[in-house]
Amino acid sequence: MAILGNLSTFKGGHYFGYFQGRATGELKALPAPKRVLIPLRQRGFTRGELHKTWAEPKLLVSVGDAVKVGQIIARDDDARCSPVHATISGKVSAIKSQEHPFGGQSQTVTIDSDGKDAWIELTPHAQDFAQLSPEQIGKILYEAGVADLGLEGFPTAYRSGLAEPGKVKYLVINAVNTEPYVEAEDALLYEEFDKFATGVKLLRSALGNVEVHVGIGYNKPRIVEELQKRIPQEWCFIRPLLPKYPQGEDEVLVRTLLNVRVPLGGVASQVGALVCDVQQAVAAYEAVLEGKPLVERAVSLAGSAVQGPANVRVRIGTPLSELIKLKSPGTAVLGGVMHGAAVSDLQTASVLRDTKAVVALAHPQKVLNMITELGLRKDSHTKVFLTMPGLEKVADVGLHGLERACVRCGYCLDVCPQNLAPILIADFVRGDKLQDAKDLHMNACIECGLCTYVCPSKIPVMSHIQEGKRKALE
Amino acid sequence: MFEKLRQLHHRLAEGIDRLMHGLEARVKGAKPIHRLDVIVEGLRDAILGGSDRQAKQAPYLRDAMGMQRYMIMPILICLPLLLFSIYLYGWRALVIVLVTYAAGVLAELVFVVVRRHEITEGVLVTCMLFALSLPPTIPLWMVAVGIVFGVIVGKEFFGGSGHNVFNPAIVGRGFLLITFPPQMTLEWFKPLSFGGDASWLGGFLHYMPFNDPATAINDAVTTATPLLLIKPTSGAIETPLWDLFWGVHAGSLGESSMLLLLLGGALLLATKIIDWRLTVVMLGTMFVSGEVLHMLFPAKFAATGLMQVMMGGAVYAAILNITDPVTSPMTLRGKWLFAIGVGLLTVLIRGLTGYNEGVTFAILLGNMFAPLIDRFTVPKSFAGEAKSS
Repeated sequence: MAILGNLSTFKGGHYFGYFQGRATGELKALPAPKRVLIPLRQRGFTRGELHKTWAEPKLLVSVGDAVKVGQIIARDDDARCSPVHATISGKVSAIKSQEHPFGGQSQTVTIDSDGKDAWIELTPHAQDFAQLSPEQIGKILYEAGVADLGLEGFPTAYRSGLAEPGKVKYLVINAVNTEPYVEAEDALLYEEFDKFATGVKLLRSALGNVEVHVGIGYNKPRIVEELQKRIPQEWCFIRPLLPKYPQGEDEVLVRTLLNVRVPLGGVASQVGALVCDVQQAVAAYEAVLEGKPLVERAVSLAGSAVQGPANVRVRIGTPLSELIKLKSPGTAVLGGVMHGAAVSDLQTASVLRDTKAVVALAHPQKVLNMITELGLRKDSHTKVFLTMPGLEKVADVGLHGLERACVRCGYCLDVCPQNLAPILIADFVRGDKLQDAKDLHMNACIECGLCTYVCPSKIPVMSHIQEGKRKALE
Repeated sequence: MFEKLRQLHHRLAEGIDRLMHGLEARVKGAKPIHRLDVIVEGLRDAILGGSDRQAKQAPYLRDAMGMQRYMIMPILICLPLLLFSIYLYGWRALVIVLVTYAAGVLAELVFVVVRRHEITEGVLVTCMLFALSLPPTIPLWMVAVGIVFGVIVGKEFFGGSGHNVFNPAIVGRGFLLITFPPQMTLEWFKPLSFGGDASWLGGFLHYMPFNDPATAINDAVTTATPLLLIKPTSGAIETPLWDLFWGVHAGSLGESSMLLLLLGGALLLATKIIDWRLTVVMLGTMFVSGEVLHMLFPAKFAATGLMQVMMGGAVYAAILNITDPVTSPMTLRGKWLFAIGVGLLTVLIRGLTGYNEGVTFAILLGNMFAPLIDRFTVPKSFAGEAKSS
């Protein structure tokens, strides 16, 4: 494995650093919860014009059925979605339609635990993945639900012909987490390094021995060294990256590592790159060599309002009320703070397959004269605060200012990783001029949220652009 | 100890918030003054700065800087300029600033109450920049007329802060320049610090450089600015460069000292409030075009490139006026175009027209094109060619 050049990065973006209440330390495995809520609806693809619909697999169980851990409770082999597994053993106590955190209604299966945590029989599919053909591996991964962890679920895309085996030229591993509070996958990388390294090899062989590019935060030299030892240098390239948000987004990562641009409104697999994250590589290993479907994942429980932040391994479907306790009034967010969804009821919202973090931010307190504060712990794109580099920054859900008309400061143009003019697009959307917004490449937006983050007038720029994209599809 | 102070601070803020809410309800209920509730609301916003507002959609984490902090920065770097102008011209400089604030804020408040929109902090910057761009001899009533025109015609007619096409401070100054040319261009005080009788406290001991206020302003043509001196008609006398740098020469209130301007400008650049492209490119353009035109047509353009940059309000405008975000382009290429245009126009107006200072009109002309420049210099996105599928 060759370490290429110096730190690579991209134009725009913002380096967040660390915030108070972040989760540190090793990955803790939590015991199975007493109840899980599993929404069937799958987010899958949300970007661009290619992917218009959300998918919901067909139910295989009904109320009262007994299920075991790892049992498939819903699947639809014709739609673009993965099978859904039961993640605890017990009885299906309810199947009802409820609101999905990321919008819309979803059939949600509630399973009450019997306390035994009985698994289905786990049979390894092979001692050595080299004995399996790419098609076999693809099928195993599909059955195990190893998909939809990032935006481009691997076997899903594989099956639906979006990324045909012959057309995939690169496997890109995203091991750089740049969103504030999202650190569980870093912990997972240290914890399960063996599984990760083998998982990468496995995915590569399933794709027909393609080149592998690993983007990794520059602060993990130990991992880089280990990877060098274990993976042959001819086909694996490691690139230390500046941990600047949103480096981990597919479009930005592929551009930084491969110098290839993802087409307007398209996805990375169209340029022959398949992006996987750490959890996906580990899950692929477990699926093929242990026969274990994806029923648990690494999640960061963090935030300024969370009691005892930690990186944990939890069952998918665990209600948030079992995971976090608020120590002060705050807003819980499912997913990272940048593009997660606020959750009003912790009882009904649960960990999804693509949930990397559950964050709760404290409500802001009223203060006088914010204009003369030194701001030793404040985070800002500008340098108007005397932010001390060594201190952990404070975070809350406050707007930190008054809603004003746009003053055209241009900060959103500075930070946009796609080099767009976000506020101009948002203005066109607000004025219902969708064609003009499209002409400014509205669909190239990757919805990283930085334009809204930096806005001193506190305009929800990203929400306007998202609305524009939605309207353009109708 | 620290924690206790913080608790006290929060309780105080809560108390003031409740007080203002109560006051607002009272005002709303009282018939003749019920429309003034927007002022109370604005006052509460000014004190609390929206610190209790929450993000309602992703991202839930927002930048710690709001519009108040953004707008206070230029005012902050103007304070040393104001002190220095008091040192040069006496306490009258401060009175000019206070009159500007009184008239400007009043004009804004009237519009706020009539149009029922929120008070914005932009007017505070406008007033400061306007006042510091005036000559120290200007009659106070003219100051009030100028700022009221600037705020109302330059900003409120367009729909308030953020919607204006022209920089309101410059609109006010331009209006005075056209309406009262002698007062704006010919009458100047000699700074107190080079008078032999002035102590080292300079203007801090005086109201204005003359002891008799009755006659002072009427025949105040006691000296000429470097810009007037260098006109071929005045004999093309160059002011020594170091005088220009330290600021001991006749001129508008805030534009004198290069030293203070450059220090303040460096602070604004370091905090990312202004963009170096505007400031540096405008001054660079003035230097290059001034030098070239001086070599080609020395009769018209008596000043060399360096003099063009150092004289008059060029540096002041490059740091504080053309960097006004609302009226300058926001794309990077647009900023280059805009700054080059304004710099070139300034030199041309100074050389070819009857006005000895060209920055004001150059900026107004540039402002007109800013939205157009933005439209045609939108950056090219990093997305690749769309594939049909």
